Amino acid sequence: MLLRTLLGSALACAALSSAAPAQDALAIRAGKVLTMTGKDLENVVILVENGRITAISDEVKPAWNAKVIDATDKVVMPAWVLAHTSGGLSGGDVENMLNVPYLTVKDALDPASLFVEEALRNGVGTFHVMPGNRTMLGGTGMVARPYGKTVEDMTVLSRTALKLSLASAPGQRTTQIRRLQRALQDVREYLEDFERRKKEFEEEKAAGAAGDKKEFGEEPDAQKKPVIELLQGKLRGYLYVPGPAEVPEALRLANTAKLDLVLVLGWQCWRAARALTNLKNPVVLDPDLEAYDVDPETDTETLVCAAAELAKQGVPFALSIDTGTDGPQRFPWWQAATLVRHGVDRNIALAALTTVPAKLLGLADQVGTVEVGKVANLQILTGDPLKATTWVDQVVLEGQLAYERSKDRRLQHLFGKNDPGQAQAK
Amino acid sequence: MRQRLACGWIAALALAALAPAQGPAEGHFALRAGKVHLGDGRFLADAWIVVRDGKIVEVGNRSEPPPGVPVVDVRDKVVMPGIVAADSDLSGHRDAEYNVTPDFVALEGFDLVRKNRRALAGGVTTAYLAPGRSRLIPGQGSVVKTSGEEFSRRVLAETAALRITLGRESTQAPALFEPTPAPTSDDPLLPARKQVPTARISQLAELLRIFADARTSKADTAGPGAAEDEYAIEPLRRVLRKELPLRVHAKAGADLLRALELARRLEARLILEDPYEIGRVATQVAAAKAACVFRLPVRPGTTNAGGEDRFDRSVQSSPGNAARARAAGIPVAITTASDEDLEDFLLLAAYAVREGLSPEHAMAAITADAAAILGVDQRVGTIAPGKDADFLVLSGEPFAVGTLVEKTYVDGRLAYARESAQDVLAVRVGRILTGDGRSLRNGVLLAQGGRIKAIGEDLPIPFGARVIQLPEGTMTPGMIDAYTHVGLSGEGQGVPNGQADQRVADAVRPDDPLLAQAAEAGVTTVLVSGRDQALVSGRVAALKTHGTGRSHVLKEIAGVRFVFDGVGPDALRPLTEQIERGRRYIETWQQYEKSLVDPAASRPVVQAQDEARPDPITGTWDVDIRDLPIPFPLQLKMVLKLEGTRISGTVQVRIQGREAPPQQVSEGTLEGTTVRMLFRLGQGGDVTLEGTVGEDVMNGSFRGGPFPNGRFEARRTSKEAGGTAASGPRSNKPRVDEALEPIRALLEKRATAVVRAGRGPAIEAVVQWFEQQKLPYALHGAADAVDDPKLLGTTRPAVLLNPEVVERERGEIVNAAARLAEAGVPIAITSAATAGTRFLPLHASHAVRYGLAPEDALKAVTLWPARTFGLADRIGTLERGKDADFVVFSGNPLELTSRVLLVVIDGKVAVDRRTLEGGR
Repeated sequence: MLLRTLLGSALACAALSSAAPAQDALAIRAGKVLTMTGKDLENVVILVENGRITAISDEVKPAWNAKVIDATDKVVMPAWVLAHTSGGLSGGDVENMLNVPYLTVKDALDPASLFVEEALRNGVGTFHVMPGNRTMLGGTGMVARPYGKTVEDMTVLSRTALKLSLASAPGQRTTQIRRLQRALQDVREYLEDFERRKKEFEEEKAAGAAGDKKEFGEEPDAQKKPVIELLQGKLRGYLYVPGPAEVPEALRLANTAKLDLVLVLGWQCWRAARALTNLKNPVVLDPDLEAYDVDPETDTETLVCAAAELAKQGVPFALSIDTGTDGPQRFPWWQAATLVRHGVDRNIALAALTTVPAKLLGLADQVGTVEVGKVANLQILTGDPLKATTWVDQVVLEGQLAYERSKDRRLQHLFGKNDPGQAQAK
Repeated sequence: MRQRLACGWIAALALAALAPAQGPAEGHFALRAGKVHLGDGRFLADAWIVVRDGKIVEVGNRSEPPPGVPVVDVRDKVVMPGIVAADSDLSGHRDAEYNVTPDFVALEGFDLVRKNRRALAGGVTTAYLAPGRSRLIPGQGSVVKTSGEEFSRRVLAETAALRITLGRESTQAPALFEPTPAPTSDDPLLPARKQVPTARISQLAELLRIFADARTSKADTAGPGAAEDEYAIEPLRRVLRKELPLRVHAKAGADLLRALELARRLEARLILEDPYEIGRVATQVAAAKAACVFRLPVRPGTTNAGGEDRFDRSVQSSPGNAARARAAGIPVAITTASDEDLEDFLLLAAYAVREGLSPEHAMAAITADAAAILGVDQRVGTIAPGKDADFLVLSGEPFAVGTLVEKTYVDGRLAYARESAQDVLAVRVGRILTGDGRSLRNGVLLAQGGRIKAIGEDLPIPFGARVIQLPEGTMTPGMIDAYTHVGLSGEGQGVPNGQADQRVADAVRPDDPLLAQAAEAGVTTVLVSGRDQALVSGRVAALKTHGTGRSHVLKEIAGVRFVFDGVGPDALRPLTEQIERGRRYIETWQQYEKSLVDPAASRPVVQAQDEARPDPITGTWDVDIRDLPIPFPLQLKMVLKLEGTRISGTVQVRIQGREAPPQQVSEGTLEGTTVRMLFRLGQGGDVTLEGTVGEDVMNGSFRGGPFPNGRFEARRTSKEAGGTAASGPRSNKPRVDEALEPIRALLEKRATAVVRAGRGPAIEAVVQWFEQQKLPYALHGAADAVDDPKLLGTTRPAVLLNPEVVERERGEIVNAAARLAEAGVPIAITSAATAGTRFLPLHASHAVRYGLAPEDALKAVTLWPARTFGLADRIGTLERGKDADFVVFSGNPLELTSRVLLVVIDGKVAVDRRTLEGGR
């Protein structure tokens, strides 16, 4: 409920602030639409008004003032949704103090960072920024879009979830588990104590012994607030699980301590895939999807794709991308294609970057598919999204043309006149 | 609260059950073993274990298998309970910086997904997980199984004991710096906090204070890390309620007494973890009813550190500690010093036996007693109805050095199966006669890759080897027949005469039934040659009597047979001439080989060609042979080429206008005007042309072939060098002359000359000549040497004997074999037969009947023939590295009442008559 409320207000704000009179109508003539609802469309027009999709049809005529994008030789699909990333945080994504739940990524998100620029270039429409994986209680995150000059411009949802981590130094696994247990217990006991004092005050007040004080004027400690909300079930937690050995502890936190947790899984966690089948939420996978698995005792090596192993067990998951500036794992399409290469169903692979994370972020009715009524977060591709020769040609965010490849300065600088994407587009 | 704490983890795990319940096929079976160690020191012979749903439902002797249940038959194996490792670092946990962390549970750090192959290979099915080693209270240890898909079933005890460390280690905890992220006056930034105790003197006091605080603390919400306590107190209270034993590590005797004092004051059950100086306090420990867990301070197959510093006064552990404690009546569990040695768990338990622990106690110390000390004996530690089906299938007795864990069952599921040794044949017999005079009781021979991998008394048999047990049998090396025609049976004309160019090895087919017959009699190697007929009687090939393709060829040219009984000053000349020819043949090869290495060596030949001197030879010649007693004219066409003094080229026979295919001139020289050429005349044998050359004419004598001597006249018709002639430095490779190859092998000492000679002077001449030439040789027959062994000179060459070794001379029995052997002559008894090869053992026995020493008789058909033909590095005796050729007889090999039970050739069973009734 909290999410919904937050979401509603945030979107309202976004719509108000970005409503530009000249640009409120947009029509895209699409050669092919991957709707991500199970049905692909061909040769349709997508009408967008006030940032939302109002019609998808092969019959409608765009209004006279609508800007028309001709994508008849292109593929239109929802912009990518990233369920969990630490990209765009300037000055490092990790606090080396262990217990800092009161921090928020809002204070570190850099709208001018290369990650944000790259995200837009690669067709990302929504991303969930969270503190890094190494801090035990690392602070709260936010949902952003890769467009805007200030953090406020970029904000879609703020204070979305608390980041927790079970990552530990070698040999300190038990210690880390116990540290986290203790930290949670400390807050639990603080909360009990607070409630007890509040109750005592109310009882005293009822008995008329409160004296001058009308209200119990004390607020819970602000520094503990995210953890309190986590324990009360008001705030979701994103728990980083570095390996299979930490999986039982993650399950204990999720099942016994009744925390609303999304597990962010290190690559090796696929070994415990069968233990992850009964989770409430889909899991989020590390950017490192495939790696050589070296058996510690026999030294045999096998190339394993973690997502494929989870898919075999029917564990729902969302994918994430590398936050660096090199290597193919920073491309969402590459991540999805890697899954397909390992035999995962194409729809599952694409859903892991669209509908699954949309649902995880509570934005299932807003983003992730191309449907009437949804926010117009669209990417226009020169071909199939999983093909290496395909380029993101244009990105539409909330009905506005946010990215045009032909005007991408950096690509122009890189390619000069030999731009392969442009050549392909013609 | 305790319930919640204890169940929290398990409940979480139960939800995460990794696998569906086992199907009935996997969970329900019966195992029949030759011997079952129950774990408490007792054992059952030929017993059944019935398993259902991961539990043992029945153990005992049965007359027939339980109906409708799959049976695992391991009647030749030994079964014991899965090993319980009473200590380990498998949790992977290293000490935290905190000195007192009772709430730490080792299980939480344990990787339940990891495959513990090493532990399972060593037979360890249950392991205690240490929560840490060197803090005052590092936490609680857990007990888990080392395998299992279902998390909850694997955890035997989430918390098995509270660990405490006394002595120097727990005084070394670092100072603790825990800065608050946002300091305020209420929550200020504090300096690093020292952790007590920092000396031994305060250890007991600090522990007693901690427990006293726990006893009196008012905090009733005893979850993890109660806010008002520095640490969780619930585990401490469980100790005080006697629900959790104390597991105290202390090394020095004084610290051990302090541990006893602590347990007495807290009234807690005490387990001492690796008490180094147990010997000094054993009686007190026994009186306090404490148990001990020892990590055997020995690591097999790796450097064991210690003692490097003379001034090092630290307390040392001793491998005899377990025995000492047990002798004092203390319950004992033993485990390995390092997790890396879990694979050798049984070996280390055996070491504890060497150090004084009885085998029964050692067995209990790794199974039943260990489980009892860990408090998990309700489920594991023994093989009994109701217990978990955790057991091991061993290749032999648990503490025998060669015994390996072959299969490890956990919860009735096969968790580990050893990969079997590839291609190993193990034969165990009552006695092995190695052939070099040694006799091995309870001998074991291991064959791998066709060779003998090991031989000795009571050797451990590697897992997976094909085992043949013949406890009554006697093994000898495979027998060798030094003179036989087996495999050369002709079609209609009998065995052909031996010829030097006959490729005997190729002529014998490995599937010849007579070879199989020889093998059945125990003859594994035959030295095959044609019939002796002329001076050079051909090659001797060494062949195995079993094999396929060319695998049965041991040596293509093992010998050359000669017949020589000439007497007189020039008698040896034909022999020496043959050898000389061979020598020249070798020289051409040596020259060629030299030219390959050093091209300059071949240059003079080319230069000679370049000289502008008239060439009297090169060109095409027509030859007429005259004075031959044949009704048609014989003509030759020769295309020759001169290189220096060497003549090469081809010769073609023409009879009445028809031409035979050209033959290479195998040898040709020009010395002055004297020409000498040698070539093969079709199948007619070698021909020599010797004559003088003039201007385009040549004449001289024609010898050899099927004809008596004749004359030849030749005219040169062209001076062009023939295209077919070998020319140029690249193609000066000599032709392989099959007729001279045996001589070459002899001169290169690859083959042995066997000279059939009977008369005294001939024997003397042969011995003298071969000794002079330093060539390997043996005699065949040597009848006169039986009476006068001095004829054989001082080096005593081997003598091959036909089966007729026993003769009567003037009513007196003369045993040639015995006489020669007694004179120190190595003899080889042969069959001199074809089908009769299979009676070689009979001939040896016959010679024994008439006085040959049995040992010599065996050598006469094994070692001596092997040495004679230079094969002793492969066959003849049973030694490591030699060919695995052997025979197992049902008794004494020279007794005719003994049967051949088994013949193995090149490590493969060629004959298996174990099940055949009756002798043969």
